[in-house]
Amino acid sequence: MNALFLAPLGRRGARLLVAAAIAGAAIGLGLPGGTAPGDAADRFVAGGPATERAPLPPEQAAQVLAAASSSRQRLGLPGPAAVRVDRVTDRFSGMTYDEVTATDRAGNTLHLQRFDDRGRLVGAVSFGWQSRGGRPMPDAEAARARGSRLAADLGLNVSGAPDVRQDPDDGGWTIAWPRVVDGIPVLGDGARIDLWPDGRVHAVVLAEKPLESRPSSLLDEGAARQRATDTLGDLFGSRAGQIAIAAVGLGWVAPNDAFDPAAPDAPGSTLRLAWVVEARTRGELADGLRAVKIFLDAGTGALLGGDVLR
Amino acid sequence: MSPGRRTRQLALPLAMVALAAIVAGPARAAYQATVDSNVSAFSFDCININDTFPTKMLTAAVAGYRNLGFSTTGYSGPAFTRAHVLARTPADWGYYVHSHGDHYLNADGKRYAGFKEDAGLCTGARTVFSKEIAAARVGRQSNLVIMSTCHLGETATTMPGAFAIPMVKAGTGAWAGPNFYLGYLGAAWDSDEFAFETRFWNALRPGYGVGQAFDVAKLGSFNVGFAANWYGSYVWTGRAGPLPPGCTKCV
Repeated sequence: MNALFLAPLGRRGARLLVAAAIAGAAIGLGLPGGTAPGDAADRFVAGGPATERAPLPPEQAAQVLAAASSSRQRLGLPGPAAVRVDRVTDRFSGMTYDEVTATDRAGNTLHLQRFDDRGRLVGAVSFGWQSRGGRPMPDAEAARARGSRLAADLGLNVSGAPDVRQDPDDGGWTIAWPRVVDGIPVLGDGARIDLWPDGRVHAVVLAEKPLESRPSSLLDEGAARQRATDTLGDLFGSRAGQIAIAAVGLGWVAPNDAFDPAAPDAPGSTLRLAWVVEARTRGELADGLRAVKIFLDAGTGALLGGDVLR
Repeated sequence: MSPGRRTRQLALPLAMVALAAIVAGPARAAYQATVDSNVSAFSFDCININDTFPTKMLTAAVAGYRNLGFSTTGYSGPAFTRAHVLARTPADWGYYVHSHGDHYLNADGKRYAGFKEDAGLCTGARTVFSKEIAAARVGRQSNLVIMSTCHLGETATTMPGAFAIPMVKAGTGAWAGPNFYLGYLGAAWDSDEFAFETRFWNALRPGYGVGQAFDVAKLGSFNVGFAANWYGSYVWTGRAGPLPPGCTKCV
């Protein structure tokens, strides 16, 4: 019966059915997603927990707390009444970090800081909506200067002119330095500092995922464009005439399951060099889909994943 | 059309029916939440491949609302229609949608925030306007509303008002009621929305309000220019329903 049913569905259809049924059963039964800590098959499953927390041994905790105390002062965060430190395994990002959470005397959470296995500050946030404070910074240039000073003080090792954006509703400023390696952008990676309107720190993020080795030889842009044209034709079939390539460029990307239900739910934690092809829609297709990105392995042209803009 | 292609086209709707039937399960509370995700326009139904993000986001949102005590049901494909949204919304304390969103021109000549239904259609899906949701809800209170679409987190959005969520940011020491609205600015890629929402749902735990979960969700890797926005009460727990008697904020 199963064989008769599954055979005509094809492998992808069958995998989709099985995955959806398992996910549905887990949700229906109230089971946590993923698998038990330490399980060799431990991986993130959509709808399940993304992180696991464990206590740190006292001597390691002391080192992390010392680092947190130092960076807290540089970040201008208030002194806590109590702190807690956890080793966090992040199944979604594939990272492990130590997280220091600070609370006030009433037990309210004030801020948190994250440190990677090299002791670098990789995340911090000051909780609460704090748009009102001192005199607001006058313009983007002032925000850029303030962010750049902070980045240097925190040792974020940024370079180049950052992207500066004013947030809505007096939310302050976002100053971002996208990561670039040998002239090639690393999608999603980089440093970001969020400032309140008066220049106080709201949040800091440093994302720097490991990179796979470069392929020994690369497809040239013309070959990549042709491969992308073929792939889009295959994906969109009779509607391929309503989508056109808008940009082609090399980038370091996290392989993902965008078009492959059998692949892991979380993006890959090691980045691969790819031709990143963005195609824009028109006509009826644009009613529900604005654009699509496909990631083609820079060496082989194989589809590594992609993205969708609805 | 080959038999293989026809049956492949059936795979996603069948999976969605199975998912919805199972998810419907025992209700934890009387506070209803609806989770809608538009899967059809970029699936085997319409093209030669399935985009996996909408199904994953549906699964994550159903689990997220259930963890907050909402009686949650997920819909997609032919079950996610404009009529379905408007029929359920009067009883919804929580609402989530992942679809194509924008500030659409209504027949009355004005622009309103809205999103596209799925309805199992490849093209020609109808728009669900905030104006219509507002008319159906007639000011009824809501709790947690997430517009997982482009544009509907912008300051011009008319969607929070449709769910009686004030467009204010009530931070620590302030209070706008037990509600929270989450949306995105500009055009947002699915991978960014999925990553943000995964971290948001994961951060909702004892001691963390919805605002804190929002801040934690921002601590991730995103495409340049990605931005989320919120309105409502930063310190609210996200738990379903009105606040219990004697409870003012219940952090």
